[in-house]
Amino acid sequence: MNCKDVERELFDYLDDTMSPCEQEAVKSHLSICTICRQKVEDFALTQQELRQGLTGFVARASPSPHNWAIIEARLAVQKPNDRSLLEQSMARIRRNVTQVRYRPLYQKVIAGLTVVAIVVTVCLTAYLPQGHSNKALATELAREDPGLRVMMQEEGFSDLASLETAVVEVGREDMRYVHFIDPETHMPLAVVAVNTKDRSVLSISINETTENLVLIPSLEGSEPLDRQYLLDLARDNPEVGDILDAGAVVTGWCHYTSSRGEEVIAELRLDEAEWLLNLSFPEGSVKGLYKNLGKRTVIVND
Amino acid sequence: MAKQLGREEIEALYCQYSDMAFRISLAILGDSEKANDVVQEVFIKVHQLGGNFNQDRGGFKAWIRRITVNQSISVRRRKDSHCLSFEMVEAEGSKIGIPASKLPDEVLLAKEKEYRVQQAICALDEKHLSVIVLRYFEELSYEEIAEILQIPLGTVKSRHNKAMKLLNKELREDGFEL
Repeated sequence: MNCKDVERELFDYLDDTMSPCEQEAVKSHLSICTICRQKVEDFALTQQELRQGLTGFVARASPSPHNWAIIEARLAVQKPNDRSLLEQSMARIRRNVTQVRYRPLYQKVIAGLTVVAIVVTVCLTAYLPQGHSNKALATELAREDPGLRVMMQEEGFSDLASLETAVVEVGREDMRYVHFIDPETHMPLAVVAVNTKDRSVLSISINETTENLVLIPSLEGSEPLDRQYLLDLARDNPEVGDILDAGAVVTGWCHYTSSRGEEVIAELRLDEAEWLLNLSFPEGSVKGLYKNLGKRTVIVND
Repeated sequence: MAKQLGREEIEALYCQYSDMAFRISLAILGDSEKANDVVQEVFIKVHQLGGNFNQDRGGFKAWIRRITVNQSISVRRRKDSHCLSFEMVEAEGSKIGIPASKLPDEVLLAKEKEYRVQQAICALDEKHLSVIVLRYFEELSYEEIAEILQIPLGTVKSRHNKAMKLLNKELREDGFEL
C-alpha cells in the first residue's frame, strides 16, 4: 500500500469500515510514513471537531413552541384536497410565486439527456456533423468559453480536455449537447449546449443538477400556454415581465414528474436564436429561470 | 390524486419528528428563526403529500429528513441567507446561563472552536454541506445519505471527501487545534 492508496481509503480507515486485512495494510504504511500519519491524524481531528461543533451549537437550541400553532392555523385555511394535483399546483403557482430559485428546468431536461449521453457513449462514438472530434470540441470549449472554465474549476476540474466527452443530438440541427464525463465515476460533470452553426455556447449546466434526474419530457404532448397564466407570473416576477416586454414568444409548455418526485408544472421556451427561457414551477414557485443571450449565459437572479 | 393526512396524523408526526427537523435545519442554516420556518413548511408538505407516501421507502422519518434537507437548502440558496455570526454563538452561550463576558477561558475557547467549525461549515456549498450535516450531525451512513439526497453512493462519498478536504484545510492550516 502506498500514499495514494491510503489517501483513497482514508475515510474507510477512520470510519473503521475496512476489513482487518486492509486495516493492517494501512497501519503498516502509517508506521513508516509520517506524512500519511499526520494526514490521518488531521482528518480524525477534523471529524471530531465537526461532531462537537455541530452538536454543541444545535443541542442548545430548541424549536419554537409556536410552530405547531402556526402549522395548525395554516392547515385550517387549506381547502380539502378535491382537485387534481395539476390544478392544485397551478393554484399554488398563482398564489405563491414569490421567489426565483436556481435550478432551471432547462438543466433538468439536459440532465435527462445526460443519461442518454452515457448510454450513447458506451454504445457508439458520436460526432458533430462538421466532423470535429469530441476531444477537439471539448478543448475548444474549454479554451474559448471562460464561463465554462471558471465553473468547472470551481467544481475542482481544471483540465476539461482530459475528461471524456460525448456529443448528443437533441432533435434540432442547430444545437447539440456536449457532455463532460468523469472517466473514473462515469458521472456527468457538465453539459454544454452548443450552437452547431457558429459553435457558440448556449448554456452550461454543472455537476449537481445533471446527475440525478432521468427525465426526458416530450414536448410533443405539450399544451398551448395560457397567456393569462404567464401574465400572472409576470406580475409577480419582474424578470419574467422584462423578458415578455422584450417581445419573446412562448412556444410551449409541458407537465411531468421528475425522478425526484417533484411535480414540474411547466416549461416555457421563448425562442428563437437570442432567447431561450425555461421556467419550472414545482411547489408553486418559479424554480428556475434561464436567459441566454448569444454567447453569454445569464442565470437570472442568481 | 394527492391524498392528505389528517390533522391528528400530522400532529403525531410533528410530535415525533419536529425536533429532528429543527436540528437538521438549524445545522444547515445556522439560524433558529429560519429553521423554525423550515419546520413549519416541512409539516405543511407532510400534510399535503403524506397520504401518498409509500412507507416501504424508508418510513416517515427518512422522508421527513429528506424534505427538511431539501427545504433548508432551498432557504439557504436565497440571497438573504447568512452564516452564523459570532454574536449568535455568544447569544447561544448566554442561553445556557453563562454571561458572555464572564465565560471562563476554557469555555470561551470551546465557544471559539465551535464558532470556527460552524463558519467553516457555513462556507461549504449546499451539496457538500448537506452531506456533512447528515454524516457528522445525524451520524448517517453513506448509504442512508444517498437514499435521503437521492444521489448515487459514489457521489455521496466524493462530496464527503471533497468537503472534508476543504474543512480540513480551513481548520488545520491556521494552526487551530483542540
